[in-house]
Amino acid sequence: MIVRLVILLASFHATTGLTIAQPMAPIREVVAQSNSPAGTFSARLAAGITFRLLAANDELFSGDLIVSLPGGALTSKNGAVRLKSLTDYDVHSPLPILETAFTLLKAADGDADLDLILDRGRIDLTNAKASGSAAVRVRFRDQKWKLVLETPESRASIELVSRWPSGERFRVAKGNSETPATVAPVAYVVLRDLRGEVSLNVDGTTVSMRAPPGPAEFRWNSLAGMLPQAQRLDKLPDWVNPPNKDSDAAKVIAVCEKLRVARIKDETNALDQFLESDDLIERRVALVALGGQDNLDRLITIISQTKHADVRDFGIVVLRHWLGLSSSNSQRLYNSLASQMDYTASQSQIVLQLLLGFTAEDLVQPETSQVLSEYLLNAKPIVRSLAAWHLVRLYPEGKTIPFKPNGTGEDISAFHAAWKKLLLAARVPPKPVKP
Amino acid sequence: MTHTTRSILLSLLVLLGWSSGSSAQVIPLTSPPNHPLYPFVPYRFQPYLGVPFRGTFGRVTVGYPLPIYNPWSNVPLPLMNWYAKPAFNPAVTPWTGGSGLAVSPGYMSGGTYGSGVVQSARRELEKAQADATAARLRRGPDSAAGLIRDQWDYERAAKPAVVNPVITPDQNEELAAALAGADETSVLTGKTLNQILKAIKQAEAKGAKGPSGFLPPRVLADIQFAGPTAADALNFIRMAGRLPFPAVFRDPRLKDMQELLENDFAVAAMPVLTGKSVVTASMAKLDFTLEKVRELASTVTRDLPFDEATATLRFLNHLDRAAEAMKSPAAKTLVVAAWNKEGSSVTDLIKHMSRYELVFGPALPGGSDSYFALQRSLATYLFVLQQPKN
Repeated sequence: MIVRLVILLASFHATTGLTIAQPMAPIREVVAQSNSPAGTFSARLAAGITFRLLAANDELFSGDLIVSLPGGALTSKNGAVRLKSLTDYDVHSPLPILETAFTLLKAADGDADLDLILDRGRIDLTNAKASGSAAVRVRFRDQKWKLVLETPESRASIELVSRWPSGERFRVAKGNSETPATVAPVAYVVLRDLRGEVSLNVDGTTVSMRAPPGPAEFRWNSLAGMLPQAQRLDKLPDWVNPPNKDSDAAKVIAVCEKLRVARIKDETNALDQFLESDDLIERRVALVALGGQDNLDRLITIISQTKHADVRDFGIVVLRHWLGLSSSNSQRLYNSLASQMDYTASQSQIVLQLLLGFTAEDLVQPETSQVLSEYLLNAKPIVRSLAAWHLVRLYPEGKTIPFKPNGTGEDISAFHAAWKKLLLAARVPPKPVKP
Repeated sequence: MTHTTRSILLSLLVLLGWSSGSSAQVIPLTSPPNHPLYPFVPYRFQPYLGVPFRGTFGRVTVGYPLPIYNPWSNVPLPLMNWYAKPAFNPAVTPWTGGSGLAVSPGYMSGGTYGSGVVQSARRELEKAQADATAARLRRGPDSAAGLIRDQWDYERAAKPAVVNPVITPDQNEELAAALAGADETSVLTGKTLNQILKAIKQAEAKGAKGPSGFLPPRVLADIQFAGPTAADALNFIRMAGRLPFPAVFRDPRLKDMQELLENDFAVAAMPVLTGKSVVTASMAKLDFTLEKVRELASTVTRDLPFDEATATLRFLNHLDRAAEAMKSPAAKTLVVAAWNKEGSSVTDLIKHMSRYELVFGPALPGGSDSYFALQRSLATYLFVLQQPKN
């Protein structure tokens, strides 16, 4: 009898415990409204894996990861803050911005008018109030900043870039989990006051900023933390002003608009058409869009099969960019290669290490060039493409060797032989040059 | 009346009787050095209820220490109920900004309460600290922006991939660190040993002489050499019969070749070990086997993870270089037979290394103790060489 009672109580406790232990699903609430035409934003649910295009002036929900095309704009629910996405698809920035992505959160009452987690890229924030200040809570990594746009039309931009340090070694996580590694990619954040006065509160320290010329720039990085004072800027960065009509930036904006329209008409095939386009900028924009939506399988397939050298070249940059967004992305890609794309554990490790690159010490070892040369004969086209990508950077004279990553056995052997010949003639490893 | 009640009543009396413009505050008291109980640690830190005001002798607070953690709370002390303003009290010293500058303000106390000199010094200190931080973040080799920019430049092929390091190390500092031997990694990679070796050669070139320590056979056996091809030959010949094959040789495609290569190398190295020239036929066989291993290794390494693949090729490269050096007439005297039996002195080891232009290479697994012993022997020898002549 007593035993039965104990079992009954234990089962009741277990059931109750299970109910209590269920994680509370985050409440998904409208926190902002898009001010952009359909297809500018795409959103993914917090627990989702696919992105969906948002309609014109759509409502934006807390918890969704929102990826934006250049110029995507939204207003906070209370109308106090305008946010605009500033991307850099034309890769002319000194640091790799590419696409912008963020997650909006429900701001605590009285804390801020807009609350967001900046995932990557560059956003522009403006006080849209008729009078008074507007506050924005900006989060990234372990940081939680409060940005106060002091006066109406005060404006600030904040950008987050990250990369793995060169040569970071890839280690397979135990049990093939996606547990983040103990080390994380290096991140760098710059806040710039673009107009009016802005004050920033970080960990109880308040920094006052003023648009250029003045203390307009505040920096943080994941290695050394923040410099607890604003740096002087004499003039606004070039990207603040609208680009010239003939500039690459203007062409990129026009192509992005074209892609937006094409995706509304035919979301499935629009990116494929752009990837096959004869226009280099269209191909480049499509690659950034693929990476921005975590479409790795497609990205790897394209790098492996494309006839365009620039697609292969920039596709690898997009993959490296994606890897640098989070410490867990390396393992995600490894799992994806091993479980969904028929790669062996060894091939997956090779791909990951080739994407993470090599240390300065690795590059001056002759064996690095030799191994890269051997990888040109690997069974997987992506390994051959990545090896060729590195070899061209070490020995630029090899750029002219014709490469078909998905070619026949003869093509592959000929490419390998040409590289071997070049390496025999060249100085291996490459001679260091003065910086 | 208890002590606590007495305290509260006295405090209230003080507060009520005080003129407007001042307010009672609980002050985290740090007793000033001129307080009679300052030498007693428990008394130094305690809450204090009092009213601050500027008096004839500087800023003074009249009040009463709350009897917490005070072992002498029941002892009547005439001076207990007043003190000059403590060195740092954020509640009443807004100008300090929390910097914690220890300044005693009392009359003839030597303090410089709020003076321009102190504030100026503090500003200078803060500026210097900020500048140092800024410099560290802007141009430090680990600067995050720099790391990301380097990656970005590599991706865009905007700059040459292999660049010389910018930083010129301070050689004196490096040598001091090498002699201390605190950085174990540096010792095991051979970097520390080579720094001391360089200093020893410089001292010897200037005519310095002195007795050196003894290196037992075990330590000598664990030394790995680097530099010209002779270094590889010396490393491998001394390990003939137990070459450090990388893990890839466990692969079925290479397993048989491991034994063959081991045997061919041992046969080719045998004459050199006994101070004779190599036998041409043995060398030809070794070359043939090596070529075959290379071909097979090529098919294996293309599927190996990067670190395993480089380790394999590095081993074969070293073996190639060793075979090349063994063909040289100078190879006859490369191996010192006495090293295995009697050991050697540090002086003789350095002389032998200089003859073949050898330096120290990274230690093999299991060789760490010998490397640390060698570091101490080299450092001691350098110390002897640097002693002034009598």
